[in-house]
Amino acid sequence: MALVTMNWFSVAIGMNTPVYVILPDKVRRDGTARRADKYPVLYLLHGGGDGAGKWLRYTSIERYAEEKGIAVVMTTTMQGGYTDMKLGYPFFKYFNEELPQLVKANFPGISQAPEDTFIAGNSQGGYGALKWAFVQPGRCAAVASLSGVIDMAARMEEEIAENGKLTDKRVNIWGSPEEIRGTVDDVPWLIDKAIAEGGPLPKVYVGCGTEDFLYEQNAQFNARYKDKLDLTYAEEPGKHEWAFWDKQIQRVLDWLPLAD
Amino acid sequence: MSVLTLDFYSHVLEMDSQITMVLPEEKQGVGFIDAPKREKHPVLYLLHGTSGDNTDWERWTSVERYAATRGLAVVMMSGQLSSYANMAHGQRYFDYIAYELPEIVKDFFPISDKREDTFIAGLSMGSYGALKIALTLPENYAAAGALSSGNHAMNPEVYNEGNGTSRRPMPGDEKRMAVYKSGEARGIYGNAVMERRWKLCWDWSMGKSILNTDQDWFWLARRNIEEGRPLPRIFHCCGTEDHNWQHATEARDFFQSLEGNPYGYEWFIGPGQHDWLFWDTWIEKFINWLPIK
Repeated sequence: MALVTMNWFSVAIGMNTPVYVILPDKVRRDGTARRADKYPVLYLLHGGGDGAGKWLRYTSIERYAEEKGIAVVMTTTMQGGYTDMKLGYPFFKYFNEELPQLVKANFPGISQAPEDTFIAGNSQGGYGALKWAFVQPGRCAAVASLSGVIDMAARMEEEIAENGKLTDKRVNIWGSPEEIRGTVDDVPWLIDKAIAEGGPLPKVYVGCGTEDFLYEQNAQFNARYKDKLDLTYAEEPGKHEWAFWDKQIQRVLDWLPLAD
Repeated sequence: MSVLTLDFYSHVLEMDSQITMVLPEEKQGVGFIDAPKREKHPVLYLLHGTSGDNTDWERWTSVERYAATRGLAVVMMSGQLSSYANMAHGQRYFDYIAYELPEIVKDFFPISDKREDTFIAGLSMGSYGALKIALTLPENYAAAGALSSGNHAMNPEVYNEGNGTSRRPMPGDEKRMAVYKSGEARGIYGNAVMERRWKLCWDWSMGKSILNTDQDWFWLARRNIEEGRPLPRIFHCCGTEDHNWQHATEARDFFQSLEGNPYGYEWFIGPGQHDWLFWDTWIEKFINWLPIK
């Protein structure tokens, strides 16, 4: 595969922003030709404190993507939690509105069709992926959350209970749990709304390790939605770590509804 | 503009390779005017000189800033020490840049495939390479730029006295001929590096000429005219203090001798030596000169 290491200007964020894009070769190393001129794309979102290059460095994503002939777009939310921050920058606007336009303008080979578009992420990136997929349910065919902070409001309430207060990071992004509930920052609310509206819904994959501090949340998500969504729930021994996500992303790629 | 590095496998070079590119952006940060908005961008293939690689131009000049004002994509690749040839002992850098890269770049990125939007230029060894590529494939380029050098096919002629070539004297010639005639070990005056290059690039050996081959600007230029091919416009410049001055003006004289100036050849001079200060100044002038539609 080819790897693009790029830095573009984001109007939404107001700054130069890094992005990595893995692209399928027109002619592979072994001489075989790429399947199609328009190829499917996976947007792969990193976790809190990570950067655009984390998935590249800590997993073998390029190798896995090569087997599937899929492009992968990895950019960053910096410290923004995939959210239009209360005290910060509008990162959700970057993902929701601007990123698809930038990808379309710069990569003519990446398919624009929803059936060729997939989103996945680890930890905070799982939250971001589900949010991005369900704010506009017809935009992608499948979304995967790996050890995701699926219910951010609930997580923040736990943190308040544990520590007495929220960190500055949390406050700058979301303000408070109350400010999340019933808004675009509230993933369960978004999903319930999408289900109620009765339109097309993406396939959903939720994976979590049984030793992960977010295990309860993820198990509850499965209980709540297994009959309401096309949901694949995968729990197995594992912690909140890259070895787990390197394994899980391979399962996600196998699970994606890719045309043959 | 956005800046990127593309890491990819080159089937022609048979190894992983890297290019640096800058692409126009519809909106840019503070301090820029907005670039012309196009779906497919005009493109300049920009070649480095001896010792360089794909990062040279981006690092040592403000080429990105100059290209931004014209909405011009720039592709910068590595040619190693190949003289931009399909090396006799080495890799096929000519094919890599002339054939493979444009296909890859147009496949991955929003780059125009029209001749009128396609340009090539370089400095020193890169200027020789750029014009060689443009003159070999004149149907592919609307214009070419040569900064600070001349027709490298003339270089080995220092050893080919009496071959009927009209190579002009260059600095260091007397010393080179004295060493050659004396039979002493070559390299005392620093020729070993150039001779090794000629050997690796062209399988050159003493007495062999590569004039009147596809490595020779003058032969290519005449062939194109004889065969009625479309001809790219040529921009050629050299600093007045550049050690390549005779080399460059030798080529100038050739192009200016062509009746009717069929290449639209333009010669420019300015104060300066063989250095990045000169190339930063002149790549800006070249980009502003380009006939971008």
